[in-house]
This record gives sequence, C-alpha cells and structure tokens, in this order.
Amino acid sequence: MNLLAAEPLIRWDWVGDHLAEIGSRLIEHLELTIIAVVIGFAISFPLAVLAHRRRWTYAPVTWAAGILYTIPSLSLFVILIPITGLSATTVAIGLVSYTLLILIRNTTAGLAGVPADVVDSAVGMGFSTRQVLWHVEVPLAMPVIMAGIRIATVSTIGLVTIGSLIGRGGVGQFILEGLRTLFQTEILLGAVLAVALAFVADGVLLVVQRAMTPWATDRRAEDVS
Amino acid sequence: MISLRSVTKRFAGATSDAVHELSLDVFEGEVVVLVGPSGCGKTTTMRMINRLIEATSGQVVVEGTDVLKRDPVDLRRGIGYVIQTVGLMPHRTVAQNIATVPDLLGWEQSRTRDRVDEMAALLELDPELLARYPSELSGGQRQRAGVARALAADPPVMLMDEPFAAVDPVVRARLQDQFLDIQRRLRKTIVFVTHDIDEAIKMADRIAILNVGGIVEQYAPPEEILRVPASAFVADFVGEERGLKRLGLIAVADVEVEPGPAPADAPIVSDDQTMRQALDVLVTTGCAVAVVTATDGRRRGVLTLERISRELAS
Repeated sequence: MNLLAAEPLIRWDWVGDHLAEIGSRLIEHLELTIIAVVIGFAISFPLAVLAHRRRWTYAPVTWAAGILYTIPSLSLFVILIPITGLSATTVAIGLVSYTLLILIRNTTAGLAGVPADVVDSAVGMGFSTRQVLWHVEVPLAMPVIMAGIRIATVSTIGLVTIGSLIGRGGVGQFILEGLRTLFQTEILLGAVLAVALAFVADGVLLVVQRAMTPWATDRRAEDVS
Repeated sequence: MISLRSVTKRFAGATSDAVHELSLDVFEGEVVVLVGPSGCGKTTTMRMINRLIEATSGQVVVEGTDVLKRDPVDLRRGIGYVIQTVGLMPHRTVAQNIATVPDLLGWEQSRTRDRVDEMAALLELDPELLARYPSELSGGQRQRAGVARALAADPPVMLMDEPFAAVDPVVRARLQDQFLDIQRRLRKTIVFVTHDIDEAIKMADRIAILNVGGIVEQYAPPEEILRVPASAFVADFVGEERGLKRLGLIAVADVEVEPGPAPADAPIVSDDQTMRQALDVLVTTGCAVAVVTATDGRRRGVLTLERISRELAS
C-alpha cells in the first residue's frame, strides 16, 4: 500500500489523456445494462403474467429464477465461456439471468396489487381478458413494475464490472486494470463512474416512472360531495 | 326485461346452493331490489345476469336472449354495472372513466365527449372534476361518477350492487333521491342489490326478499311487502314500524283530504311531504288536525289522525 500512498489521490492528467476510453467504456457499460434489463424484462413479463393468471406456476417460476440468481456470477461466466467464449454475449447472458428474479417478483407483486374491485368493474363493463391486462392491470401495476426495473438496473450496473474479468466490464475494466498495476487513479475512476452511473440511471428511471403514472401522485380533494 | 328461470348456483366445493331454483321476472323500466341478509345470494344472483358468474342450472334471459348464448364481453357492454366500491380506474381521469364503455364500443371521439358532458350534467358533477383522477374526488362524487359511467352508453339494463353503501347517510339519501329522479326520466330496467331494507323500500318498484341459500321469500311491491309480509322471515326482516314505513311510501298529495275547519293553531303539512311526515307533525305538535296545503301554498283541506290510520287499514 506504500506505493499507492505515494501517489496523489487522483492523477487528473491521466484522466484527461483517457477521455476517449472513458467514453467508450461508459457506453459499453450502459449498452450491457440496457440489453440485460430489456431482455430480462422481455423474458420476465410473460412469465409474471403466467404466474399471476395461474397461481400454481408462481412457485416453480420463481424457484427457477431463484436458482439462476444464486449462482455466483464468476462461476456463471466460467460455465458459459466454453459455449459463448470471452464475448459480450457471455456477460449479457449472465446479467440477464440475474435480473429475472427481481423482475418476475416485482411484476407479479404489481399485478397482484391491482385492486380487485377495479378489475371486477372492468370485466363487468365488458373489457376482454386481454384488455383488462393491458388497460387496467399493467398500468396500475406500473409503479411496482418500474420499481423492479430500477432495482434490476442498478444491480446490473454493479454486476457489469465483474464482466471485466473476461474483458467486457465497461468501467469495471478500469478497476481491474488499476488493481493489476496498483494504479490508484484508475481504480477510483472505475469505482466512481460505476456508482455515478447507478445513481443517474436510478434517477432517470424514477423520472420516467413519475411521468408514466401521473395519477399515482397523491393530490386528494377535500372531502366535499 | 330480465327473466331468471329456476336458476341455481352451487360454487365448486360448496355443500349447498348459493342460489336455489330462483325464478324472477324484472319488467322493463322497473327497479327490482334484491334484499336479504348476507349469504342470501343476492349478489350472486345479480352477477349471473351479466355472466360474471354462470348458473349451474336454469336459465337467465336478458332482452329475449339466453345470456349463455351471447358473447359475455358483448353482453356486458350492453348492461350498466355499478358496484359498492365503484371501482373507478385510478389511472384514468373521471372523463376517461365515464367514457369507458363508449370507447369499448368504438364511438366517435366527438360523440363520446358530448356524452361525457351530458352524463356529468345529469349526475350534477362539476365539469371541472372531469379532468381529475378518481383519488381527487370525494366519496359522493366518486359514486356519482360510477353511475355516470354505467349510464354512459345508454344501456337498457343496469345492475347496481350496493351502489350507495360506501357514503355517509346524508350523502346516501341525496344520491338515492337524485338517482330516483334520473330513473323517472330514463326508465331503465334495473336490478339493485342492497342489505338495507329501508333503501329497498325507497328505491324499489318491486322488492325480492331473499333468504339464506338464495330462496325468494317474497317478491312484491314495497307497499305489499309492508302490508302483508308473506312469512315470519319477511316480517322479521322488514322489522318493526311496518305501519310507519308504509306511511312513508304515501305522498300527502295522493290522499283525499277532508274539507272541514281547523283550529287557528293547527300545524301545516304540504303535498310534497309523506304521510309519515304528516303523522310526525301531528304527534310532535299534539294536535289532532293539520292543514294540508298544495305545493303552490293553496289550502287544500285538513288531515286528521283518524284519517291517517284509515290509510293503513285500506
């Protein structure tokens, strides 16, 4: 650690020299995150609807997603390397599999939380099953679904850094390089960028959620009839 | 017209029928109230009309067609539906909620918009409320929005499950009066479910009193149910003060008053009051005679305690 202590906390000149790399690493990080969450949601949503409609499927579906979630990420990459090699696909598959449990659970919880009387009156007025799903259940479950997407996104941003071990780690690559060469600036840079990315992504998704669910803001009228 | 023909419903796993061989005709333009204690199958009966529940046996005929022969989604779009908790969609504005069935039926935007305004006016909902979300309304406003939504596509038949139960008594009475007033103009065929016998007496053209297990104890106009309860169960359910409740159904305007003189301090009752209110005036003032005035204030005659009793004997 003496070596590290001898250095200034951050060597800004180094940062300045590597702006292009910082940019491309950030983009890679974001791309991997977005791909993982989008594919993860595309898989989770139909499974969650199934688990909601046929309650008995909930246990096996979450059990399978739970097993994937339990496998340590490093082990998963090792298992996948013989199949998909040291590629972004390997990282993406790993990342997707970690989003499933969170997304399925939140989506099912959101659907289950839709008030029964609203669904009953919608059916009673002549909504088809499909219309009930898309026009009533999904919009009303949206705050909980979006909460799941936010958690999945933030945890995926963290997990992408581990992909650096097979060369596809976004800003995690800086951390790995920094550790290998004991270069403090690079370690800090990678860590700070990963944290900042997580905060920004969470904030952006929160704004999107608010915009999607204007009705959820609680502005109650005074109780006059 | 709605016909229930020996309709039975037994739920999966149940040991007895929720509704047992129930037969009932609801005539066009009438309000039929299904009333009874919990477990009497009143809501189940109502929900078999729009196929939210399907009968185990028997037949439900709406406007001439067996409901089982119709597409359920199609059937429901032609039947207004209001439930106790209203079930307004929290993510849609009041206007969008009222427009629900017209939208499902694919009406033109402009026609739907006009209809929403018309419904808001009919239910006395401030147009300003139309842009709000249901969570921003009071309980009474929500109930009225629910009724407006059920009426929006002008269905000939309406199903109402305790539509006014979720509000306080003062608001409830106002909603009931307003609804009766609307019904006098629109003449819908309505099945109305409640557990409150007084609400049933007030709203119904006919009341079906149901006992546990979905058995009709009596099906008759309110006046008849109060005058000649068909069974001990009905008499018990209707409760005490049957005479007073019957008087509450008779308007002073419908009673032949006597010419005769009245003391100078005689109280005044008006034609727009009920005989029950007239009696109340007499017993509180301690007078035996009240002066009856027409709605325009003109003296119409006198009403005596003895005359009121005679009304109950008839």
